[in-house]
Amino acid sequence: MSDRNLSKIGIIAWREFRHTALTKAFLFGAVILPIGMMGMLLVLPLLFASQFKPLEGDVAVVDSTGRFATAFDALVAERRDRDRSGDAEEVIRKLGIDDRGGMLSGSIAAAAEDATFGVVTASEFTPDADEVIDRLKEEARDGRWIAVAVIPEQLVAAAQSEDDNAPMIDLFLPKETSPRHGEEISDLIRSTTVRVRFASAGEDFARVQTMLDRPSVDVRRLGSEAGAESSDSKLRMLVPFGFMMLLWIATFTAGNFLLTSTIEEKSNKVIEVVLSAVGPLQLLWGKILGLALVSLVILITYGGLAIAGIAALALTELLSISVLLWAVVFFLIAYFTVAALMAAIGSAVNELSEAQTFMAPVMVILITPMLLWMPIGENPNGTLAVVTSMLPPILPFAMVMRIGAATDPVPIWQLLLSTAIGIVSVVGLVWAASRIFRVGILMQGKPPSPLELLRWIRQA
Amino acid sequence: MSEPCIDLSGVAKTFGDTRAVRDLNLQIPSGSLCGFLGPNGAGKSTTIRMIMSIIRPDQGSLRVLGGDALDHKDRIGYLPEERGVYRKMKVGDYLRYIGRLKGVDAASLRTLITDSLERIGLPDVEKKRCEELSKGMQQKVQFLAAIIHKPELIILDEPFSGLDPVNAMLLHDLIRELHDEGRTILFSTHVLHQAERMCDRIVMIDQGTKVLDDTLETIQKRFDPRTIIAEPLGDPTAMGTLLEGAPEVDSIKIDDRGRVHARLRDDADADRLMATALAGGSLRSIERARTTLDEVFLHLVNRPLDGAQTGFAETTLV
Repeated sequence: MSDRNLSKIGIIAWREFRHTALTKAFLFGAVILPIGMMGMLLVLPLLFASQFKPLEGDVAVVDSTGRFATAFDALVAERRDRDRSGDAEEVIRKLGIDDRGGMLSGSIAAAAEDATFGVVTASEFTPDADEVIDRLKEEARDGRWIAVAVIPEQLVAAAQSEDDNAPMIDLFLPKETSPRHGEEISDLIRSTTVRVRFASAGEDFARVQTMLDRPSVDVRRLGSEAGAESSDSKLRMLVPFGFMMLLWIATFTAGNFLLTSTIEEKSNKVIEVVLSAVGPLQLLWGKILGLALVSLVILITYGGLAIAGIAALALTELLSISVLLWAVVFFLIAYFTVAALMAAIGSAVNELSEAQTFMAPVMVILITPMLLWMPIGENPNGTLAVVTSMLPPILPFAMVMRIGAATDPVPIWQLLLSTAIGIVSVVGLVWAASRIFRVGILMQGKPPSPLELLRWIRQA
Repeated sequence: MSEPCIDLSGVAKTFGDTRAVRDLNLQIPSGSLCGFLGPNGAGKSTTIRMIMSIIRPDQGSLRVLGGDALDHKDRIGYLPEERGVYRKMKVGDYLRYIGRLKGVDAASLRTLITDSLERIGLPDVEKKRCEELSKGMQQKVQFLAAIIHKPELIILDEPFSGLDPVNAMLLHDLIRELHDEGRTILFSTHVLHQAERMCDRIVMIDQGTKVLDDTLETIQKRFDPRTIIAEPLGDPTAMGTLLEGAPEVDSIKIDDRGRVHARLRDDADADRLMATALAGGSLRSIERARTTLDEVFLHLVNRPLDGAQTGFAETTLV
């Protein structure tokens, strides 16, 4: 192809890119919105946290045992200690996040400390007279107490559990108490009741609790080489899905733009003007390459956000440079597959509504990998995964899931074979699409049947 | 003789069961302004699309500017019948895009676009989106897009359709200007009188077959009706009788407006018959009948208009 023809393809590609990606609608919808949403996800918890006032104040407890207040204060102190450190660490460890620096748990703990308990104490009253409760309720209205709890005697007795008709704790809250604080007070009261029961029965609660604690398990995956262990992660299952979704979003958004821009050129009747300046194949390639850039912008935006998220969570061991490079290879195969299909469909029909007839079977085929996320993610080197990752046109979507799963690397020969099959299928699809494009782009009237499309491919 | 700008030989094209163009031979000399005429569905647009290599002929050979139109796209300006614009694009951007595709460098386009828009009477639309323009304005922008790269060969498919008389006249002038600059122009139309006013050469096709291909001058000579029309102030019958007796006259017909149509014999002198008519009484008017392209066309395709002159003394010019 001469330089002149190449430069025409470049001019078309730039127009497609400019009029698709450099528009307010695209910048907002495909770039600013996801970044904004990601930002919101980060900002919202902080925003919520800033709105949470810690629980503070004195709870009036009416009970007959006289042990409640001490147990309550001990519980509050314990909870505060746990929130500062252990809880956050536990959550992080369970998620499989390697928070070696303690940055994440530190900040969570800091936020937690701010958010849950301030100074909460309990003052005890003996239910010696009926008016005690009424007086305390009155004082609670005046702000002296943050709650008034009346604990029936049977509830703290050691052997009350058999009784189905056990009385309930009465908890009175001033009407301005927030639902969250209400929940917290109620929880503290209930937990304290259990502790008082243990104390009444002469048992050491702390000892019992330690005995009941289920030990945690640190799962590590053994790599193929000695010493290559990696920590297990619940997030690991999400990575293949994330890879496939990224590929889907990037290729189908751009593919859809390709479809609509081709249909628009046909329905606007501008196509013949353009074809008087360039050949149909130049037009096709210009459009495909221009929208490849659009696809790349989407991929970089979403992929960048995902990688930033993974880096922030210190999960970078889930990704490696070679995984990312292979992902780019399969992105290209996926994009050209989708683009060829969309260009062929767009050139064959006159309106978007007519395109739906052809889109349905294409979508049914290309959506299959999404349905196979669980089995492929679960067993990325199983027969199903290997077969689907060799099967055009769904192979790039299946293969990125296998790469992303990464429990064990995909054998290099499979990557190469899949790439080779992918390239051959892309060449075949683009060839067929260009034949359909050539005939279809100037065709008006009734859209062709699938059989006619096959005839176009043979004839053109 | 130099090579024709467009040279079609035995070209045919069939769509399904429809034979759109049959065995078409056509040579358009360089520098001519040629009208490509025919009724709707005659095969004009199909022929033009084949000339542009947008569709391929089923048979025959086709040379444009000495080769394939695909190789000379930058030297050809084309205004298709099915034309449109990118609705969301600004007029200036649209012209720049087409101009760049046609091989004009970006720097020249800047002034070229502004000047050209001014020339077609649309000086303030460069920054407007195409969809903001009226249909007629869009037509003019489309015309501009076809000639923005100053092509040697300009092919216009129905350039006047949808234009009001003022804009049709502007377009007429622009086409004449381009022709005067030495460019070869082929334009199709089914409005025959438009072509009659502009072209120096006429090609007519009907049902995919060429029925006429000649210079306008030759056609006018060839289809000279050789009829004198005299409108007497007095009794038309008397005038009819007088003229019928003249030796130059082959036949006489009186139409319902009282005009006497005297058909001349071959080789008869029209001036002498006119003198006879003038001497025979007072006349409101007397003229030599002229053939319009409409009449020529209808004659050629055997579909005469009611009351039109049909019996051409078609002269074979050797």
